[in-house]
Amino acid sequence: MTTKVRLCTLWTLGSLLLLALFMGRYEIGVQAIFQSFARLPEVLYCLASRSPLPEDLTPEQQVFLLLRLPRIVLALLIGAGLALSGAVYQGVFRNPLVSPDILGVTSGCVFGAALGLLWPQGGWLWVQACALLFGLAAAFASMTIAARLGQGSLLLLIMTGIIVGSMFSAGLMILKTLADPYGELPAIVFWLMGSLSAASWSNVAQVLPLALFGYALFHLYRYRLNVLCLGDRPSQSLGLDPVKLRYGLIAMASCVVAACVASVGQIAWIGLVIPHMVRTFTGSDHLSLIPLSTLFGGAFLLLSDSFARSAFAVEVPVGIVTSLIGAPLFAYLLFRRQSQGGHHA
Amino acid sequence: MLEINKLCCNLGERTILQDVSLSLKPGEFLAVLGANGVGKSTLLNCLLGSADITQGTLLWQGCPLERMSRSERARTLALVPQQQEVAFSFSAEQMVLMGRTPHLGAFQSPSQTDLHHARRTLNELGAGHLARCQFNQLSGGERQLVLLARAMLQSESVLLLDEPTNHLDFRNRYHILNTVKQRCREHGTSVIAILHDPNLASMYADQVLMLAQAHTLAYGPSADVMTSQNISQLYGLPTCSHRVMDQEIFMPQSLPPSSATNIAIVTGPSGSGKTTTLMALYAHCQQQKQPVRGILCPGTMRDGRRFSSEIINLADGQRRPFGQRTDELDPITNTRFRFDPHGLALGQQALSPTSHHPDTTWIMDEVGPMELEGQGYGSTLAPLLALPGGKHIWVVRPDLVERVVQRWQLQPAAVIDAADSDALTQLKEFVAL
Amino acid sequence: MRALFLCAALLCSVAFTAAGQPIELTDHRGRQVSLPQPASRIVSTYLPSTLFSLSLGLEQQLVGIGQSDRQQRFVDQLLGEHDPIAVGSRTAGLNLETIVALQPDLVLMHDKKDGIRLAAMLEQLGLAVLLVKAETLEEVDATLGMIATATGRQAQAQRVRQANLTLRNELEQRLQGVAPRHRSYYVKRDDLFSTASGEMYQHQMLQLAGLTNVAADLRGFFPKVDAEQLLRWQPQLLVIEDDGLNRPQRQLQHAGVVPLRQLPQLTLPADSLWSMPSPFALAGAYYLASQAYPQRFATAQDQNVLADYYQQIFNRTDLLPKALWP
Repeated sequence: MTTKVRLCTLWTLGSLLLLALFMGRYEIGVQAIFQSFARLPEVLYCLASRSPLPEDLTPEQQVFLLLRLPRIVLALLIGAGLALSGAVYQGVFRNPLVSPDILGVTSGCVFGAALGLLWPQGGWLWVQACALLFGLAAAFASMTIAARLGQGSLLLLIMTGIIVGSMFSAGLMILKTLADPYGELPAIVFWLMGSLSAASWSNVAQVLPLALFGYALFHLYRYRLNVLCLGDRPSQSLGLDPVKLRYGLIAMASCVVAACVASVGQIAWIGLVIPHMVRTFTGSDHLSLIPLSTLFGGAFLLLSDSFARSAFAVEVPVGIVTSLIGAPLFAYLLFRRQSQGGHHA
Repeated sequence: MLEINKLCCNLGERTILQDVSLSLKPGEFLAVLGANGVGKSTLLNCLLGSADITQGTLLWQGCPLERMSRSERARTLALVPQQQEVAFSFSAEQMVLMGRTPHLGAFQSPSQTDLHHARRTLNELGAGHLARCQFNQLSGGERQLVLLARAMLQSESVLLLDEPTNHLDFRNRYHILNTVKQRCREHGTSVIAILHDPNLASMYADQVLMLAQAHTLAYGPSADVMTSQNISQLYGLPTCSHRVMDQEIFMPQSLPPSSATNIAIVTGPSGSGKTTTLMALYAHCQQQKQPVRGILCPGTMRDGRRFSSEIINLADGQRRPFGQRTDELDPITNTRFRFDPHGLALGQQALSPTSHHPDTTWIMDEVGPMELEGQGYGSTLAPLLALPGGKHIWVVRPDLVERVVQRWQLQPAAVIDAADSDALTQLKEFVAL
Repeated sequence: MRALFLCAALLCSVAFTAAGQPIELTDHRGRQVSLPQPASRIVSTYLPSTLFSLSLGLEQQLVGIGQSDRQQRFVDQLLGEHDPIAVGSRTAGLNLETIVALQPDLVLMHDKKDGIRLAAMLEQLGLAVLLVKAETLEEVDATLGMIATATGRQAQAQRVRQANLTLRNELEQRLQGVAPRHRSYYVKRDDLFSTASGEMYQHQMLQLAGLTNVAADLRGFFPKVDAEQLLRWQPQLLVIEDDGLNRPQRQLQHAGVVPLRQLPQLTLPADSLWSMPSPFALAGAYYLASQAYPQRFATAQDQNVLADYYQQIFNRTDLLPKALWP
């Protein structure tokens, strides 16, 4: 990673973050934002200890601290998590067209969420727990079946992923037909489209530990990921255990994806395309690909979600925004790359 | 020192390697030769630990390989794999740098020093200018150089080369092997290379291992093992050798368009008198003092079918009972004959090319389906054909003539029907030529 | 049951008429909501709660409504010039910042799990949120009382109740002694083979209209049935939700359901909103009954009855479906 790239990244991220802080349907002045930040530790402490919030918060501070800021943080986290696991999945599967739902994690999550919504008991936490649980179950099922059938062949893993994914998709269809079209069905569709509109600090608390742990792990293993890209036989001759390493990385990446989807629903495009985009201008070296994918994934979802929440009074589904912003951007990058005579992986 | 003792490797029911042994001193170059699919790559996989060993031991300086950790093993044995596209594009120097992986901790990335080492290795191979190029865009020769540099960075002890000369042009083939050989000399690196060209093996290798059908066909110092007979047998292709500038060059005997037609085929349906005609020819030759070798198998007929047969070693006239019709289908030979082991041994002895004289006529009665499959006396035929100046008369069933001609790439001088009245005359003329 | 709710609602409205006192409410989920004074800036996040607000004459008090509420002719006509901000939908999510920026003193939200969660978040921001549940006419009545209390519209709620009571009495009187009741099959707007189960409001509506729902034993929401099952039920008439696209009518042209083609078809007009529970949903039952048993209803008078009903609730009659309005 050159200094220029680093500076460019930091500058982009910083200005985006600043922009996001000021964007919103509720007008909050610069001063109010600075004052809000001063109150942040106090508010977070109150939320964590489940004690009542300070009485003297102004409405601006409340909106900023309880709605806008958690949403911004969550957007960064989710975008980063999805892009990060996308990069890992693509490296492990040695295929730039792989997205994080290849093992059926996303289908499992959405199925779990739908099941949680239809279950007569339990609140929102229960719904999220179900989503997380079924997402992990899907990944676990695909990996176990593949491991049983053959010694960790990639193709087999993709196939079992398709099998498990379609099982959960079928389950979701059943649940959708059972759902009340004016009761639970809209909530299920909400999950399928993915939205950060209901972001709160508790969401952040749910995603943060797994995302941080996942990132730390991938950061440490990012050089081995390079070697794994060479294929099984070469990486084995270089002293790696490709099968174990692969399963370990996929399991962790699946956890991160499941945590993301369980908290905001399924958000397409980021996990597939952000690593791809980063690769077009920094190359395939995971030493820089892993951190940059993470940063750009976060920045990209932040940008999309800022637009989704503040362009109109109503929410624009964020999946639509990610595609609308991302597709032309990606096309432009490819075009620029091509006209420079560069080579794309 | 690398030692392999009685290595056996099975894949399910199939035996891939059976009792393969070898030992390799520092600085030695071992070439592994063999037809496609005889387990050459499996041998390398066993060394790398990616194929399970059924029996036998692999030792590196007296220490069993399976007791070494993965990275320890990788620091000792470095593989130059067959070329393949990498899914993501890495630069050449990144590819070379990966050779440092077994020297790094699990969480470590290569340092600046490692990068210097990688660049230096590339430079040593004369490929320094490739460092920044994308690996996937390199030519075959350049890629092979990069992979070789990676293996050299990985280990100084043993290099394993899996068909390193595939896809390489005439120059690059020698360039790569020269580089490897130089490495052997200068660093005492041992090399095991799977090669497809016996000439390259005899040029570069100190030792040669020939694998045929999971077994070791021949193993030893290059000069002892590299004979046209062994090579003919190894590939089932009549091969002759010529000496060019102190170097044995092996070539297939019948290169199109070749005029060497030293074989006649005697054919005809069962009971048409093929063996009888040849017996007459044999008697004639003995009268004329013309040397005849090989085997004849006269049979007794019952109900219009061959019932049993004898085998005659034409060198000394010795006879043995050979085949006996049984009612059961023998699963191994896929015939209804049971063969006498002494008879088989007699044939084996009769067909060994030890007592060859340039005028010798070799009679082979007969080349059947088993020989076509490489069983029976199949593997002895190519070495016989490779003998200088010999003449051959093979007995073949009419329906197999075409396959036999294709299998051994024959250009028969004559295909003689034994039922012809002048069959014997034709044969006499062929022998007298 | 109905009487009980009525009494409770009446008591509520009497108890809090004294001005100056905070209004204490308990919603469907047992949540305590306290309002310092009757709400005057209301955000209604989905169509049913918008219909309740409009029935209580709160057009001018609505500052935010659901994203597609205004697409209903009924809602559009009632709102007229007044233009509340759209705050989002359940599927695409509600824009919480928009809601807060509107500074409402009451937010009406559905009572499903996602609604409960959003209510908790809005409450944290100091907004009063009432969870609304209206899936049967009894719940409609209780909800009407609750929203009326929260907005100080008890008198209007009383008028609505009175209108419903009158219409109901009229309906029961006319249907008295009808036997046997017509066996009817309810058709979902876009699919001949999706019907109303015994759990749904549409079932209740059929019952009120003096019709027997052939699918009463089914469970779930708009269960799919196959053609054979449908024929086996031998319905005597079809009740079709109309959406102007006529898909069920086209499905009837297919072979296999020939016997159904001859059956009389009663359509619920597209712009009536009668197929969902609301304070004026009883009109739907009355309309169906008048179509199913025409001998018991004089057509001219029947139209007048519904016009009176709308007049009493909304003070206007042009909100009736266009099909009934010559």
